[in-house]
Amino acid sequence: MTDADPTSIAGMPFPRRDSFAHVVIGAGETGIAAARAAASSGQRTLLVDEHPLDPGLFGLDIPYLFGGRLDASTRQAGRMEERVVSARPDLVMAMEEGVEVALGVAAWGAFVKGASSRALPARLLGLADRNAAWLVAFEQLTIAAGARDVALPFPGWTLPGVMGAQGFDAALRLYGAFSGRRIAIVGGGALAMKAEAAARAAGLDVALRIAAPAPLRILGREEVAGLVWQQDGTWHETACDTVVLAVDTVPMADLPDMLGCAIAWDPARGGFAPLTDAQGRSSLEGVAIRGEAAGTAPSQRAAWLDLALAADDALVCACEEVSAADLRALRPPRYLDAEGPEAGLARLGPPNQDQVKRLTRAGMGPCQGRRCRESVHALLSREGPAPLASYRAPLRPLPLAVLAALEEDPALRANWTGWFGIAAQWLPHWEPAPSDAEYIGGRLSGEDVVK
Amino acid sequence: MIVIVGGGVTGLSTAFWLAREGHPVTVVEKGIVGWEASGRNGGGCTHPYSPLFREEQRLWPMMDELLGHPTEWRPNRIKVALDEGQLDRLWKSTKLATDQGFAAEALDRAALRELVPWVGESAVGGILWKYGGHANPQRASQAYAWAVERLGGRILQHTPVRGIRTQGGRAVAVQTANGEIGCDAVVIAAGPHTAALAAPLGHRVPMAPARVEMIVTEPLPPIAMGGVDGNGLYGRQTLRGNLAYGGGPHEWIDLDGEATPRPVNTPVVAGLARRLQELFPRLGHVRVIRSWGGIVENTPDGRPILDRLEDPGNVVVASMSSVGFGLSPATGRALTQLVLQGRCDFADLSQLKLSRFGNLPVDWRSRQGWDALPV
Repeated sequence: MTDADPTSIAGMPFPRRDSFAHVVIGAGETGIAAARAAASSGQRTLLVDEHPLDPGLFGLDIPYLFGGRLDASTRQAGRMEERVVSARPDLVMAMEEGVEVALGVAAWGAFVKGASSRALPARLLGLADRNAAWLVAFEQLTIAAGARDVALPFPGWTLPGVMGAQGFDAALRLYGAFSGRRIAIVGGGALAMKAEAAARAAGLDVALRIAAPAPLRILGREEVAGLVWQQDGTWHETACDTVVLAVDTVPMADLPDMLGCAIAWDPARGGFAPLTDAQGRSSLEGVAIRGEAAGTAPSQRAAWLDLALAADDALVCACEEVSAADLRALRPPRYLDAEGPEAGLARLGPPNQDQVKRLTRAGMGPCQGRRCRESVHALLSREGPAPLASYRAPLRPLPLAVLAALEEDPALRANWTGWFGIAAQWLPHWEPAPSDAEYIGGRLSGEDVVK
Repeated sequence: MIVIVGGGVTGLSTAFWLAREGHPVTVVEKGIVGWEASGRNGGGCTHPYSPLFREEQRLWPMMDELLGHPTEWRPNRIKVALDEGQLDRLWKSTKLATDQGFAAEALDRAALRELVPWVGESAVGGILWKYGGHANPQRASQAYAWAVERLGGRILQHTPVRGIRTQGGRAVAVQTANGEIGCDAVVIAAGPHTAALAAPLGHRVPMAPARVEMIVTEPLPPIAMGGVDGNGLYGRQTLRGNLAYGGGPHEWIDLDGEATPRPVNTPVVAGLARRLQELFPRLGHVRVIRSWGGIVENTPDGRPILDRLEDPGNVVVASMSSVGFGLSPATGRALTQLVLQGRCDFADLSQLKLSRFGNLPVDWRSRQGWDALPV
């Protein structure tokens, strides 16, 4: 065999900043315990947590539904880091026991060998803070990233002041930056009761908690001013500045999906949840998934979503402005001003959320589908659960400048081509392929390809 | 009945033109139409090195109306150079079109900035191609499929093809996971799976599958002409405003059976972001929200195979060698003519026959350095 195609990925080293025997994602109780256990068994261990977040992510509701109810203190990175540490005292113990802790660092990608990625020199994790992205190599990975919020697309749900239970909890107890005063809580399970207890403990005014699935409308022009709900056939109204949607959460399955871990639909575990054994091991060797990332408690999500999605004008995807009716009609996005196919969704055969995303744009916006994933899935799953919509890197929306800061091997630059490196592909196809053609298909460098 | 094996953009376009002329067609697709690389690519419609270029340029402006659904096609391209070497190579590829009578215009930095406000001082200049364009791959692929059905054609999704039954030197049926479909002619347009489908007919269709990747940013306010690229990237600003760009190292792979492997991404996505920021230095704050992967195939010389076999004589083999989306309106018409009359009357396809690989050594992939690494 001759040398490998220098314009291919074969042999690319992908410089990494560090290597760890064990990386743990998520510094909640579960993640801290996993990191301490790994370190105590002698493994060089890194524990990363995306909090405190890049403030730009609060407005995008990443990773939780924050609903614009965090105060300006969240812009001060140093102060927020202190709060995160003081909210999680075990972090200090983990550090003292030798765990390397990286706060404000998001895991945006994981890269392992597979049928279409054979060239990777090691298992790699893409990490990023507010300034730069980098790679670390890992042997074992524990994902303890927890769960994220499920939004319910009732009228008014996109108003500032509509939060998820996780967003509320983070605002209140992690960041100490909740800016609301009088809250209404939606949900009847443990999640809602926990939110209510936390609110009362913080001295907040809890206007009410709606436990049983009911039609809702959130009132307000610029932000939440109140909540209207139906009970026993009549409408009731209360004033509030915050509505906490605490019906359900969903396991944060983005990293497991990107790694190729087996994930299955299980409504009793929060929807799509990774398959794990009793020890938390996923289907992928060396990757464990623990805590709520591996499954959450049963809830009344389906009944609530059905109520919200019954209205044709329910705004399902807020980023791309796609309504329930648009989805049912498979209507192209508004900028095209065109109708969908006759028969709408029924034209597609077995529904696939990624396909519907590309046709309607539902889930294609800057929040990376976090606000509408569960609604769209519910809408497509009338005849049984549609398959999981895929997660792609970067798993957090990273500025070009941050990704661009990832260290690059010089050979990658020297051999970069716009499309393969086949010179004859770019010369007239009505003439025989010349044997010594010059490649004009987007070479970056005028030099000969080197490696 | 004409059976098209493969619901990618090439097969769907062929089915569309055949159905439009009143021929009964069935497209058999193992998964979802336009699902693989047909639906996820740069969307470019500018291929002056192809004998189908002129037809590509003639047809795209009509496709929305012909298909009855929007393809998001928009005309023209702008090429940006960050150094004189890039500019020189851009002019060489421009000449392929201007030699055929198409117009292009040099842009100095000021003119370039006027059209593309995102470029910075690093741009030495550019070229405005008053030809070519770009469209939305998934929307266009789906539009072909819906048009086929509207014209009376049949599309079978989630239906893998297991073989082609022959009798007396002709294909008589396509065997699928759900039974046989009798046929008068077959078009094999199954992307990287084309080789495995043609092999039992006694034909070696040399091709190597590879994985490629792209990134997508959050939407920006649309600029006048979104088809802007350079700096080793191909791509565009979509009509919605997102920047979708690809390029850089590909990965040669092997297929394992009839499934197409999941096209993952690699840290190359950061290399794409780096080059996009170099191209548009004012956009460092713009967030990357997605990446794509796709599996494509390349022939040994990187050029299409568009050929009607001699035996069985009613089988047409089509591979666009990794560059199929933009040419698809023209390719479908050309393949329709190969099916119906054995030759294409509007383009010279003489160099795209399978026979050009007759003397290809068995280990051609190794010799070209295109072997897949072990999993």
